[in-house]
Amino acid sequence: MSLTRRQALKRLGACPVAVASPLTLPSGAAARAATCLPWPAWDRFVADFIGNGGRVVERADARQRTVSEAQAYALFFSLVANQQALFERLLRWTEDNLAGGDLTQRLPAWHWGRRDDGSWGVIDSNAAADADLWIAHALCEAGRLWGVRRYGALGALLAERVLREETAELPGLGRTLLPGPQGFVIAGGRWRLNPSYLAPMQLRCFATRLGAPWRALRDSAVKVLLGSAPRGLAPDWALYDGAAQRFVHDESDGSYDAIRVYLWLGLSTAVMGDPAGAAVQAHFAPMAAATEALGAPPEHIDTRGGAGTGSAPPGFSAALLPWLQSLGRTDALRQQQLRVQERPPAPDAYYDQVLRLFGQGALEGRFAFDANGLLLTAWSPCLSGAPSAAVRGRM
Amino acid sequence: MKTRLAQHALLALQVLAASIVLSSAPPARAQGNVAAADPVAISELLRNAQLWLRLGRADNLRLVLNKILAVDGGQARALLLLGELELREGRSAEAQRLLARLQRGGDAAASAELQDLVRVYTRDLPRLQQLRLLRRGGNEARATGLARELFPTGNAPGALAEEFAGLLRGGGRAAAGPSLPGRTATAAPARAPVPNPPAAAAAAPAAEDRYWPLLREARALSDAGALGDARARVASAMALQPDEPEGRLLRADLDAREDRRDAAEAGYRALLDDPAAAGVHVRAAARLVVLLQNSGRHEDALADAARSGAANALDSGALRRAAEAEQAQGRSGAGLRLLEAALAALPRDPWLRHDLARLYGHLGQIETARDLLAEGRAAAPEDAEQAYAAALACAALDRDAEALATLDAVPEGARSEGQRALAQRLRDARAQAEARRSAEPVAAAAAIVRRIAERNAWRQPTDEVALFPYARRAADGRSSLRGLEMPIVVTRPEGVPDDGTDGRALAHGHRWLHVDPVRIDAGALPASFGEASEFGTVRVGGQPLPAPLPQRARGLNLGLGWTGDERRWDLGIVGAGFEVPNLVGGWRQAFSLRGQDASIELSRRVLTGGLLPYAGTRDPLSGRRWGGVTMSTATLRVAGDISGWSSSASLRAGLLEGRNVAGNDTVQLRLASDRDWLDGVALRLSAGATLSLWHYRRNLSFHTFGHGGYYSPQRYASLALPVDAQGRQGAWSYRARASVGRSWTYEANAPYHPTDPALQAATGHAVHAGGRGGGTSTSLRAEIERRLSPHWSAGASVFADRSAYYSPTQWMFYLRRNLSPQTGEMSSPRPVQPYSQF
Repeated sequence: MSLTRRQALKRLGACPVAVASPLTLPSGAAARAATCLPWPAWDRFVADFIGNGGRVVERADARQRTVSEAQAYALFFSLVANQQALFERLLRWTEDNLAGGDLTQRLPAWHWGRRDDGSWGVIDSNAAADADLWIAHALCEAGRLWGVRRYGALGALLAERVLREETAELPGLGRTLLPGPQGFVIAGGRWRLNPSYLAPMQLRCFATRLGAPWRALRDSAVKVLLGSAPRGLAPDWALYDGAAQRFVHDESDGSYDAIRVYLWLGLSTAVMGDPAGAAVQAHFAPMAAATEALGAPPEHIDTRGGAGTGSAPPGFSAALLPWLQSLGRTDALRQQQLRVQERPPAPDAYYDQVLRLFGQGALEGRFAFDANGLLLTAWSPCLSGAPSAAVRGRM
Repeated sequence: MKTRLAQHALLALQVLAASIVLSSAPPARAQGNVAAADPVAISELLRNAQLWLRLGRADNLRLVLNKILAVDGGQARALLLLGELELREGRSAEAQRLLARLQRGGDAAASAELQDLVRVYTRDLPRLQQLRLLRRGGNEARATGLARELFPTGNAPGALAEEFAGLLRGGGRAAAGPSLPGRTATAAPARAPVPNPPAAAAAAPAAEDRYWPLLREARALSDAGALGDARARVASAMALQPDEPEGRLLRADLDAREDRRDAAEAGYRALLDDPAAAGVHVRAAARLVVLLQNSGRHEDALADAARSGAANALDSGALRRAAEAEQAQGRSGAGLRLLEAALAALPRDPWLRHDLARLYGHLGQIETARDLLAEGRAAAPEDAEQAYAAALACAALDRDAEALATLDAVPEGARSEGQRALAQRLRDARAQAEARRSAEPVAAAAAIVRRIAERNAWRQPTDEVALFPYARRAADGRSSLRGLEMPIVVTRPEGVPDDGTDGRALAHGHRWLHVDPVRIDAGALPASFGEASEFGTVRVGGQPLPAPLPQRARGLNLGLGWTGDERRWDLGIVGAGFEVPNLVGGWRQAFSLRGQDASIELSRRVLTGGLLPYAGTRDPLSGRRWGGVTMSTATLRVAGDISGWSSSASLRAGLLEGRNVAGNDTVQLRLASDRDWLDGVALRLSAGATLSLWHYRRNLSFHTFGHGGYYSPQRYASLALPVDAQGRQGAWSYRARASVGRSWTYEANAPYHPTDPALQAATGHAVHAGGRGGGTSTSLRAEIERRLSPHWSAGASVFADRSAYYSPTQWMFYLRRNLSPQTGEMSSPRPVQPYSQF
């Protein structure tokens, strides 16, 4: 971890267009006014995917769809890039189109686009818990970093709604995040869960700011991550049997969803600095080994048998970067970095692009999460000036 | 046709008035001079004023007018508009001062108009109000008649012209004639063909020469409401100089006024985007903001206000209403966005902050709400309104303690009645809550519930009527007294208009009116010399009366007053129709004295213990009137709790005077203490002791001429032991108070005629004998009240005092109508207090 932090800070310091002098950045207003690090990849993403109205369009998709997750990630990146006007546009579109005009009243629908009859609108009004948490998280952190009350309040309200509508008390797990409000409770006391919806640094952030129920959620998240990946390979989906209090491995493929498990773990090193956290990180080492052995992350991996198939798109490599770095697997890290450079994601590959923004962005020191799960950005006082006490304690 | 004529006549007058203002300045010669040329700037400001006037934005109107007057203190139209504004807001004295300024300036037309306005808003205000009522009621015929009376020239001054244009047009035929020349003079050019724009190179100076006068005319026409004509002028002017910003601004204004909103918006935006139009940016931005808000586009208005720094143009009331409408439709998020943006633009607006805090609270974001309020308080710690708004919001968030603390931070003198009422309500709530947690729950809760029931009781609007008979048998014609009063009382609470906490107005006091007809009868003074010589100057005449002399009087007591938690006052007349009527009144202020409740009271009351002091009478021999005694007092009262005994001390100094009655003064001290021995809902029993000490300088208790007929011992001490029982049961409540006591008195001998030495000498220096006295006394008061329905209550009471020489009995039967239905806890009986007994 200390290596990551130091490298990140070094990169910042070395950057010729660094944010204004740390001394000029004590107030939120000054931080907002500060020139930001150029982030060409993000600028390109904005140009390629985000319409003027603040909608992230998946151009490669037949329905020109928008998913709430894309809005959520874009909100997060615009915060990292210190682009408040863009953030507001994204939020406004999300609120108006996915949340029926009011995020204080309902969860955003996960799927919007051209319907079968040619009209535009919500295609599926069910929500996606990971997107909801990312939106809530971006709002909470935007409220804190930009000093905008409304964002903080909207974030807290949304997080509370997630808690009410997208979690359940599962035998043996306690309060657990469900993938959405509907469709994940299976007859016979089973639940379908998605490990990649669990971002430890995010749950930690909510626990820090919103208290007890989130600590329970964080604890269950660790159980889900470990329980669903007995061989250290995360599956896309997992079925939990409440009576047996264990995971039933009906589907064992680990692929496009699961790749984010490693991404989030890579971003969560500060919050998982304790031995228990380190054990979780170490538990997933087989994925690093498989990647190293194959020279690239497998597109699919049989999480029970361990066999990987197919060469994953470059976004997978990018997603693994922070994690490989935190594991100290420098060879694998260099290998995957090179792979991303040589095979950059296609301009219209939304998901690949997002994974790259996360993975490379973190590696470039554009953002990080401290031990309390609070977001540090290149323009925020903490990362541009002296590291916060929490971070310093680990250096 | 006539209607059209009158319309044009009116228009002509307005154009005339406006052009008087405008022509007083030399025309600006060139575009570049606009900023420097005061007259143009002033006429622009006047245009602004006109806009605010039309929008009903008195606050902004006042700002603009003050701005104009700061530049040109004699600006006639500004003085006129400001004068009208003052009148509309009820400050006629200020309007008079402005009128004087206007008259000094010598603008006869404006002076006359303001003078007319002053008349309408002062002397003729009732008629104006009646006229408006008639109109609202649709009574056009009567309204027209009244309008003709009110505006005999057929022209209403100021903004009233527009208001009553319809009426006066119908009725103001006579006025149309004289104004006719005006119409032709001003209206004709409007129909003249627009001159062709001259060839640019050759005629450029000529174009400028014509541009500004055209624009000024256009403004005057626009001010006068002739929008079509104004538009034609602007078009003519703009044909000469299409890019000149003032013209473009005026055209956009006209678009806005004629509801071509898109065109107006485009016009303003084009100006704002044009660096060459920087001179009009501020105005264009403000008008764009107003336009957007008027179109319900509050978010756009906010965005533009933020962009162009035109936050002053925002109507925060409209923003609040828009946010409330969003919330009412279940869109809290939109309300939040609107209020946040509004507060960002107007961070010192306490009510935006209040609404926003409540919305956050409503959404469960209590901490955010508190931070928000704290931020507002920190930014303006001295702002009482900010504190009030914050306290209301706190109260709405169920943070009563914080609300109280916030209010307590406001200096007493800076608090409004609304703030006091809120503080009282919060203290009530706190007391109630504390009572619930109290170690002695039953007793304490009963006490609190009772107290709050009492306070709420008098906050209600009521109509009351009562019969108040009383009798005291003593010496007929002198100290005997039988009376009947019939108090009629109308009480109306004075609420804080919509405090927003729960939709219920907080009464912080009530206004009341007493109309109490009175009849009193002291019986007939016997004709025998022995008895009659104790009356008037009969003793000096040395003869018995030819016949018994009836002593009776009829009159009316009238009073009006205001009673609040801490202050009350009243003013009235006692005994209109009596031989000696008296003006009376009182003022009382409660305050806190070293943590104890204290009050100070100044009052003047009539003594009602007998016919002579109450009503006055005539001396049968000389025919002179005497009597009607008032006591003017200053009273200091302190009350507090002394180890469980609620105790009070009051010290009173009084001056007594009456028609042809010797002057007198008194000092009185009263100490009382009692405590509850039982404290339940059905029965609360308290008992204690009361010590009274009085001193009057003179004994004027007799009925000879110069005396007042009121008890005025030189020394008086009494110790009484009162027992008080009260309670409630269902729709009944009762109260009984019995007292036994003992008194010690000394009355000095009194000359027969203390005011007139000659008369006194004529009696042979006779004196009424005084002496020591006293004895035991008992008194009983019983009251009962029943709630007949949520709207009606009835009650009765009796009071009897039995001591050696004084044994009055009083009854009271009363009926009360509660205008707002009463279903809560019964309060103690509340017999009507006749105005004579204040």
